[in-house]
Amino acid sequence: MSIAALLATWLPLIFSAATDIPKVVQNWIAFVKALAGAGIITAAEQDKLMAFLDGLLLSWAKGEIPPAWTVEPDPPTPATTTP
Amino acid sequence: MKIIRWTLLTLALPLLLGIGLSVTGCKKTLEPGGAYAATNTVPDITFYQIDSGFQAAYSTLDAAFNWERNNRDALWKISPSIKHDLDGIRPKAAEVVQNYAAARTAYKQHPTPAGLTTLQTILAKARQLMDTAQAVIANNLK
Repeated sequence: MSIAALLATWLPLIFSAATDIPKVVQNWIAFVKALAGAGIITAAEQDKLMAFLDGLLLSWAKGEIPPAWTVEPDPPTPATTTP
Repeated sequence: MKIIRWTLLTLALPLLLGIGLSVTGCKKTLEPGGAYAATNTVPDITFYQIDSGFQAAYSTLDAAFNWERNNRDALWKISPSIKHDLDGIRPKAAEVVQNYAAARTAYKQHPTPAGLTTLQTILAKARQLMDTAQAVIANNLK
């Protein structure tokens, strides 16, 4: 797409958004509030991690080790063919 | 009129972004009432961070082991040392998980600074094994 075509597509969109300044500012305030909340680990997130590790480590304590964590025999090495 | 508004907007946006970033920074805090408030009277951020780090290390090791196991036949043809090197890590990783489980249970029953230090030491071992597993895969697939 040429620069002229890009400008023709995007400039009207940018300027139409810019005319509604209160709405844009409102969105930015919401964004800043969301950013401020990003530093807080919610109770639900904490509960999720605790439940995951409690369940995982309980199964390990019961001896339920995932098969991928155990050493299994090597696969058979394919026989080399001699001409 | 549109240009004036656009100019105001372009001036305001960086200002708002700057305020937002300076307010938030990188600080992490625990919301009261979560599971990590149960071990202490105040939310236990260090315990949460250790658990979070352990979950990441466990998930990486689990992904590496499963990837090798699920593709064993194909990888064996590329290089048997992928399995052999990961087999060298598997028992150590399993031991680390069991040690972490025991230390975590002990810490939940008696939350002490010494208990946290033990968990941190085990987490460091888990991370070391995670790095080794990643290196095994990267080095063998060069």
